[in-house]
Amino acid sequence: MVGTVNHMGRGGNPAAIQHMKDLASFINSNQGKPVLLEGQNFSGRTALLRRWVGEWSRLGGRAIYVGPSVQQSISSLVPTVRSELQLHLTGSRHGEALLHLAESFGLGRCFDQSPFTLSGGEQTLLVALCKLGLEPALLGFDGAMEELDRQNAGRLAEVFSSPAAERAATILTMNGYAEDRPLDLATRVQVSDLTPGAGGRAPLFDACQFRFTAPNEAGCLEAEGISFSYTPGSPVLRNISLRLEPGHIFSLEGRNGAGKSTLARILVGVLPLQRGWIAFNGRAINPWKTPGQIAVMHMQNPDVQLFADTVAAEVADLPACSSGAAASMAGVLDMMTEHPFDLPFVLRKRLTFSTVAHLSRPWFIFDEPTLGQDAAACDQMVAVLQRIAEGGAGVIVISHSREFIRRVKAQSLRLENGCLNKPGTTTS
Amino acid sequence: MWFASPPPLYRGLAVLLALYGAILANTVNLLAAGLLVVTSALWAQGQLRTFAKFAFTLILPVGVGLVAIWGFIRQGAPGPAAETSMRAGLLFAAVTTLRLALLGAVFLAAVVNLAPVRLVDLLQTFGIRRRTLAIIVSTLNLWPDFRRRVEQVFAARCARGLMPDRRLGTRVRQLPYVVRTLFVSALGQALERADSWESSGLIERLDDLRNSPSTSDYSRVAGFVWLALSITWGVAATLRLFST
Repeated sequence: MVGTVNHMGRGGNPAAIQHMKDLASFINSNQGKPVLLEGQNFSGRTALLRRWVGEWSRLGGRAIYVGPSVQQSISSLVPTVRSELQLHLTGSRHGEALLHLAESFGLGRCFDQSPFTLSGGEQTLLVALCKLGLEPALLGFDGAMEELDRQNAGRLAEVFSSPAAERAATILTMNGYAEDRPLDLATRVQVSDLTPGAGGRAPLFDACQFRFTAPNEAGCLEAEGISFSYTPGSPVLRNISLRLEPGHIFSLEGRNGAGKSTLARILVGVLPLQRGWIAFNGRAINPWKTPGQIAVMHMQNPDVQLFADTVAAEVADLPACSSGAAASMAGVLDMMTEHPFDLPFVLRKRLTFSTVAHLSRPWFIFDEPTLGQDAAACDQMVAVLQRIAEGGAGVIVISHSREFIRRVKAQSLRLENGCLNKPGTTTS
Repeated sequence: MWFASPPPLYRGLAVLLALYGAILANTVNLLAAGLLVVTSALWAQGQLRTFAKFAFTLILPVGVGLVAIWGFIRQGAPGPAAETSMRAGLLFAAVTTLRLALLGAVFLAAVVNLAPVRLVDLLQTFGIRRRTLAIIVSTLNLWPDFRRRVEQVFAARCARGLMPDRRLGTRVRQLPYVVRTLFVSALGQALERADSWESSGLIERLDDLRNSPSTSDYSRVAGFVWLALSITWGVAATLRLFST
């Protein structure tokens, strides 16, 4: 059945008609049964999903594509989570059930917030439930599951097999390590079985090109009594205290919305210190006043961290010896004249990772660096993080990939209910 | 709060009357009285701070400019039949500034801080549907969308160490990067979103929001209060205009 879906044709020619019949058959036979589309980076999964969604929409069916930049799938028509859910679920046969699911996923406490203020994982949950409310025949969920913690990913996979998704053929893609995939419920299909020969030359992520520049001063990063809330009375972080030695990799772990990125942003100086203090090498610092000088951060969403018109300009503010290395490591050396936004997500993510890694700072924070990256690229990232730590700088990594955390041999810092477990436990 | 929830028809009529009165009113006392009533309503809605921000960043500089130009430089109100004296110029500047503040306050109290579902309901009451509705709603969401993006880009530049401090000069130097990212990504995403609205049938669904349960808890008393106030205001402005 799926093996013949690859005969792409246009217009009314027999191959095109046969292809659409095959697509219809594929959708019908997978309703209510999520399919995990497997393949490496640049194997053609995104192109295939987008093409199917486009073709099915042109036929008048409802098909939805959700990419790894989940923000783009938020409607932006209404300003709160509650109204976003209302917009999508009103009139839906499973509206009530999906609304209850939203509450059970913990979105209830964010109902009056803007969807854009949610964490990446919470946005993924919101978008998934909203899109199911639209009752599409085909739902392409491309890489977005990677932003979820293991428990939420497992539960969402169950939702894709539940009556709420009984009319949707959900096609999922997940990158990273196979060990991290919680999708026991999904049928697995290799993209190469659907589109043999698809996918072009894959730009390599190459850690051998990494040029680490040691910081002028390495030192211990300490924080004491940090509390933070976005809205009064709803603290995200409570009395966080930590002492992190340089030359090590720490993994900041916790459920979606636990406050991992918030804590990282405070340490970098993107968010102000509301309570408590931070010290570097024994002296008190206020990162809010001098952001990014002690710790730099690779952000989860690469699109906000690309500022230039060309890839070359993007790496131009690095030291001369590092700018070429940064582009080379990200695999974009032959795309220097292209606009960064024209690169696919996987390369945009690598480019921002690479530019941050090539800075010279005592501390580095990487927020979900492996999003959209296949296992080979993840291994290269492991090598980069280890070289930064070996060079004497400190590394904090936020990732839902347990395998990635295991491979970088990170020490675990676990955030739960706004509180931090004491560091020092090496993850096994 | 009951006062903030008049039914859409009452709200719409009250806004129209309030705007009519604000345009017609031509004395400082009348405009100041109108402004006092609307700012009280804003205070009751918990929006006084937002209005103060708007007044200080937009209305105050405009007012100062008008006073300087018409009060001290031109020393008279515009128009061939207008009186030429510093007093007339200052009076013109004051009336114009108060009128702008009042228009802004009415718009803020009645439209901008409206819960989104109710805004859709209001627009639908006046026959605005589908595509036009989506355009208006998404346009009203553009400002918060842009503001969010600016914050994200500032945050990302801070995170990469490209904004070494938070001094005004440093922030101003970031603007070209902010604007570039803002427009390239925001416009690209706007196009993608428009496609997604079409394919997901979201525009038709905006119509369905009207019948959702949260739109049914309107206060008719609030509607009468809003309407009574705006009728009084409109009549006062009309009478004052004809009596001068």
